[in-house]
Amino acid sequence: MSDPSVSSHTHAASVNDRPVLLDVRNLSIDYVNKDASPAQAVRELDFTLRAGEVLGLVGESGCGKSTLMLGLMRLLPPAGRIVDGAVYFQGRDLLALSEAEMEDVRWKNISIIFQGAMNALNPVRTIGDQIGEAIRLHMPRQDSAAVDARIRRLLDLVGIAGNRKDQYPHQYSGGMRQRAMIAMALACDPQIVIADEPTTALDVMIQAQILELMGNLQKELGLSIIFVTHDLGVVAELCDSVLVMYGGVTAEYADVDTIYNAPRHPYTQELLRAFPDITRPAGKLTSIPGYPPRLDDLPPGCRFAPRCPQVFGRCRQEMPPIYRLDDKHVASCFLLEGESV
Amino acid sequence: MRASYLLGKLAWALFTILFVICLNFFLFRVLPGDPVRSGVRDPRLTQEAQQAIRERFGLDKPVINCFESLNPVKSGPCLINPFETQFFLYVRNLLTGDLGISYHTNRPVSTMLGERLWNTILLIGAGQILAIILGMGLGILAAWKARTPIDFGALLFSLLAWSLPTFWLGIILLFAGSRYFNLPLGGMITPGVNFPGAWARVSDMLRHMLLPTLTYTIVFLGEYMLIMRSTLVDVLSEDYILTARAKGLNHFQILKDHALKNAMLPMVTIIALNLGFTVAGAVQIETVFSWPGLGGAIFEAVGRRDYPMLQGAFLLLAVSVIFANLGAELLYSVLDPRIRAE
Repeated sequence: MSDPSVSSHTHAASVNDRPVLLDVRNLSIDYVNKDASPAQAVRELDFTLRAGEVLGLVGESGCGKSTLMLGLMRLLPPAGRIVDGAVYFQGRDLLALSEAEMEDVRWKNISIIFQGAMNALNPVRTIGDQIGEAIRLHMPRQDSAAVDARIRRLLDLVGIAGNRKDQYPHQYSGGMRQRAMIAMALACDPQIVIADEPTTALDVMIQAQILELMGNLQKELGLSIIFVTHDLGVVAELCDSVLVMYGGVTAEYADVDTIYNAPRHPYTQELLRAFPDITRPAGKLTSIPGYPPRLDDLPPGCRFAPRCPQVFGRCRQEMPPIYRLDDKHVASCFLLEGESV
Repeated sequence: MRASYLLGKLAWALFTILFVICLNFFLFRVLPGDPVRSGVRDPRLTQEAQQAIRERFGLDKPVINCFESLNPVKSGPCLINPFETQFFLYVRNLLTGDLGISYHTNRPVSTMLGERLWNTILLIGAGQILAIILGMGLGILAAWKARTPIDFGALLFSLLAWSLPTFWLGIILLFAGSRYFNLPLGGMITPGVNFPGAWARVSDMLRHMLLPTLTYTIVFLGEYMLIMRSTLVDVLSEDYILTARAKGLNHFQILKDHALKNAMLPMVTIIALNLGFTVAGAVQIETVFSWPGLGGAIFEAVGRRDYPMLQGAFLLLAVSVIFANLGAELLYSVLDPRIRAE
């Protein structure tokens, strides 16, 4: 395998010149609870996504990754509230749109691929019918022959024979269902595809196939992808930039080379130490002791303080602000206080 | 594959019907009581006259050849000609479509059942259709507005309606309807009236039908509403509903194109089961409103030990339940592709 940092570095440089598609500013999401104070699922999150950029969203389970993605599409469950912030898509604030306007944005501009384990396809409708539904909804001026041809082309794109479009989800294998889901996500030529742990619950061979497929499709179609994952290997291979989340807040946000070669937040450093690197001699893998914090019972200071190996007194009392280390590198840790630009 | 599935289901239905025929025959004969004595309420009836009645209905013959305890004629076990038993004659007559003669009225059972059946189907059919439409509608509304005051109100109403005793609700409605709305007290049509035309006749019957139908509708509506609501609430929390929302479908499209077809599966089962029992009639409702239906006929026949009538009615009931189930299974395979494949 070639060194991923070299190739992605040149790619990242070119990505930075492209126009910004999605600009998320200061986004905060709560889960309200009648009997208790709201759980702060996402706090003051900022990131941008440029045309053709692949952003990796990394963090442990329960750190708010999926909540953030559902929040972007305004698909939060009833208890979820967007309490602050803005989501600009091509300059338009999605949070200010009416529900009908938002319905128009969904899938046509931003589509989402759910976890493979999820029962994300309707069991009583054929795959082709479910893909065609999205096409007919967002590209209405097409006759049925054109829709049919498009369904076949989409299935062909993900390596499924066109004549299987009339089959039901239970007649597909797990990997094929995920391919069909990808085909469906591409049905209306969206600018952004959110992939929410698309390879979870698939076996390793199928995971590799799906990732390769997504990488190829991204290059072919020039897609912008937000890749939610806890697999750092996937991030290294596919992503241009990485947002590391911890307990609903940004721990570190930078391009992929910086995250891998010069991480500054102790959490990012620990995450990388917990991940094998086949290019280096076999070393000891470590795990981060403890668990991520419960979102309804957050520590008073830095949310990583209880597990941080470099913790000191101030971390337990105050929440560290986000320090800008250079043009595209931010991290939230008191150790970096003097380096802020 | 489709044909073998269908044939298998049909074979099972036929087997079940055969089993029911046997069970029906013995079920009433192990009951204590003598059809001749309870049918002719005259203690002065001579032994000869009683014997004549027995012979007329074939009751002098042994029930079956090997069960001595069931036989009126003591001739030792297994020595009787099996073709001269009541059971054989019953099955033979059944195969020719002859359900026998009622002990009580001396009329063919099939004719009597036929008269009663249509009255029952008219009443219960109307009640079921109304209950299905209203119950499903209310269930969909409650599921869509889940955990709001609308949902709470609909739930409360349905639970109440479901738990009301049928006869009590019938009596209350009968009282209110006849007192305040001048509706008839019972029966199917006003007796002794010469109706000027067909429409007057139909409208008189509709006035008689109103209260029993309403009672039946209220009793069943609650059940349909509760099942529809809980199934739909489950379906609406499924992942594919989130996918449908992410695709930009609006609430109505999600309900119509994604949720309802999945939610209909349990509804089909419960509707089919209820439709099967429809033929038995609602004994309580038919009694309260003196509706000349099948339920009332069964009730009367039990008291008279009218074996042929009971056998006929139970057979009809069993066959309709079995076919309603068969219908539900076939409908299931149309609605759910996962069943079709098996």
